[in-house]
Amino acid sequence: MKLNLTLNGEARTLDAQPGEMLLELLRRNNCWSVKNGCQDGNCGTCVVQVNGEAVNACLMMAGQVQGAEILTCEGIGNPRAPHPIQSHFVTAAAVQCGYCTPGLIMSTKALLDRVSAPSDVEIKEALDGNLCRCTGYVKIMDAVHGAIEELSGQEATT
Amino acid sequence: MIVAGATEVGLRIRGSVRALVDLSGLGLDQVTYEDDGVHLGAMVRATRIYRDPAIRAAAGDALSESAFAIGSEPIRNLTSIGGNVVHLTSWSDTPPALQALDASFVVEGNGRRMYDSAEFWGGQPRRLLEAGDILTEVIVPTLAANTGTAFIKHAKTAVDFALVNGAARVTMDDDIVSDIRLSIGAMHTPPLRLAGAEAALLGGPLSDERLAAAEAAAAAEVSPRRDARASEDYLRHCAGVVARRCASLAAKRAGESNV
Repeated sequence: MKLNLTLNGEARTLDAQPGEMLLELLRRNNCWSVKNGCQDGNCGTCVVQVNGEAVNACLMMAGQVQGAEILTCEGIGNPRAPHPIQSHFVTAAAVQCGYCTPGLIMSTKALLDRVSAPSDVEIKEALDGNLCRCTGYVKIMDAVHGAIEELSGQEATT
Repeated sequence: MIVAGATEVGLRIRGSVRALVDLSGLGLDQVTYEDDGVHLGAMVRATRIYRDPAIRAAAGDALSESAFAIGSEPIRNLTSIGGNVVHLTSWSDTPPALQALDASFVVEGNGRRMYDSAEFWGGQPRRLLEAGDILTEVIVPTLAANTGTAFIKHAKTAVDFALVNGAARVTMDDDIVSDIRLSIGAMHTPPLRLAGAEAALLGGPLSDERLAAAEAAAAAEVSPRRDARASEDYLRHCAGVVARRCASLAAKRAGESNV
């Protein structure tokens, strides 16, 4: 099945295999940030933005994203020019093994696209689908707070 | 096979799909407010039901609370109310809320039919759908004056499937319960109206004695399905507690609704 979609800002035509999930489609097309964790919507390592909303790529059939705008962690920044959320996950040391990190970053991105100054309750609601099994969530909250501060500072200056 | 949010279907049929029909392009994600209540298109997502203050105001807190109880944020972004109802499982969270709220359901395809709450929840909703039919709309009646609603999910963790979930709609006439609907789900598919607990509370004040009687009635009238996570005694106990708490919270909100 031919899919015309926008992947990380680029118009693409991708070939979906029969029965393929979005998770597999994205990994086959070099989006390695989209991790294959539980494959049943529990862990959140595969969270990407589809038309702005955070979703589990393992729960969507590839055929459902015809015409959609898809954003993965690769699409928002890179090591030389990281997105503020990405850089704050690094500086707050909100990573240990790193497997959950891209999903957490994309859930955070979806939240901050919607609400510029979320409360702690709103942050926890938005991240409630992302499990981190290495450590706690304190540094993750620190990273999100840091990103909020930087992004709101950018808004104030522009 | 027809899919809505497809959160369940993807898990079951991975790799063995012949054809899927996705309902998301049909404009079934509309919400309209009419004289008889709020009309929710079958493809309205759980996130919106939880977050939209207009839906909460029109349909009641119970529905929004039940939508929030579903899985996690990325799952709520996919889950549709129609799918949560038609693909009824023991862990569906909106059904007890919709039963307590006396919602009715519109099916279209082989002609347009509307099912009231009692008929719709008389068995698995899928029994009402023939080939070519889809659920298109859920209608939640406008809340009467002095009415409050509440939904409670009891589970091991917030993201886990409910052990017990329940909902209440309570109308107060001064301190007297003048109308009540109580529903328990999770251990029951379809959800169960608690006739005994309702009778224990109707027509009197929400005193501790009457709430205790309702709790005991609820625990007695449920018949929990087997659940590896909890014993039947525990589930009965929880059903009583959830029913009592739902009734108390809904009554409290009924009191606040006319302030």
